[in-house]
Amino acid sequence: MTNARGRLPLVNAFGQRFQPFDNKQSGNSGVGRESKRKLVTIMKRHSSAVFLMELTLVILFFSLSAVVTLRLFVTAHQQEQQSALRSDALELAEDAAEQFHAQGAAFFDSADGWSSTPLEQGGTVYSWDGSDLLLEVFLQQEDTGAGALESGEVRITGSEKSVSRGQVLCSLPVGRYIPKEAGGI
Amino acid sequence: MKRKYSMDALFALILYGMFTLVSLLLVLIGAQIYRGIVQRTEDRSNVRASLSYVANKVRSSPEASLENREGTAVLVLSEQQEGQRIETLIYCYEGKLRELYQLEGKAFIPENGEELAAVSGFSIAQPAEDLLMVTSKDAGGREHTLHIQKRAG
Repeated sequence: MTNARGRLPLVNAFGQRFQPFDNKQSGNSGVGRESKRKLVTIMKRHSSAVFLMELTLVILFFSLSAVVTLRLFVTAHQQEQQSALRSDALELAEDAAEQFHAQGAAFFDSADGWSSTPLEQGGTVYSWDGSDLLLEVFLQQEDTGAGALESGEVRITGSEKSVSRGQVLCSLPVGRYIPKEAGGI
Repeated sequence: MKRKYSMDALFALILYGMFTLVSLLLVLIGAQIYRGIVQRTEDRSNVRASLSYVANKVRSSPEASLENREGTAVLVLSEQQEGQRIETLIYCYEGKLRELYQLEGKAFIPENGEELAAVSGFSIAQPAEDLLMVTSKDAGGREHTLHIQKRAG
């Protein structure tokens, strides 16, 4: 496979064989230099193409990774928003339950934005619409011998404008007993 | 020919530069998002902890009242222990929610209180006879309010 000088023949990327130049052997040194220049040109051209191809593949892989990473960032941000909403819902439910326990039905004043709707199975639902949360208090009154027991549930739902629209974020049972002597019945 | 080679090299260089720039932007955006999430979570946790702590203290204390001491609104929780009247003072001083546990009648020194949580603003009011209203402000300026009913009897 070796040539007369004992060297392996040179081939380019396309498998084309070209003879090594040798200024001493060649009768015309200008022809040898021209061949050398052509060889260098071909190698430079192909190395540039290979480099560009590699760079393109790297950028493609990086783009895929960047898309996945950005998606993770967006998911983390959304989860943080949902967590904040749940925390606010719990705070609101606790506050409403405490105020109802202290003030009773007087807490659901329409001047403060409350609306009431009677329930078919008895009882009343009081609603208050916040910016991101909808607060509903379902109440039923049970008359006992010694007083009246108001029991129900405070429910917080995500409003239409929030990230958890329609989703029940918090539910808290409430109860209040009004003895007869206090004018409960 | 030389001009073509220069254009190839320039294009490769520009491509490489854009790749570096985009990767740097991605890292910066990720760091910014992560920092924001952690900061907001920590801030919310501080506010919730401060409100919950005060609520639990009021509910467990037989006597709770609101006083003004040294120009500061102070929640005073009194109890009897071993024949002595002990009071727990909860107040906000220098951006921190503090608690001071001392004998009743002693002078109120705000610096002596133990730090509970960092809050931007904290106030206590009494809208009704048996109802306390605690308001805590987070780092974003948003107010969080909790009503606490005093223990009966």
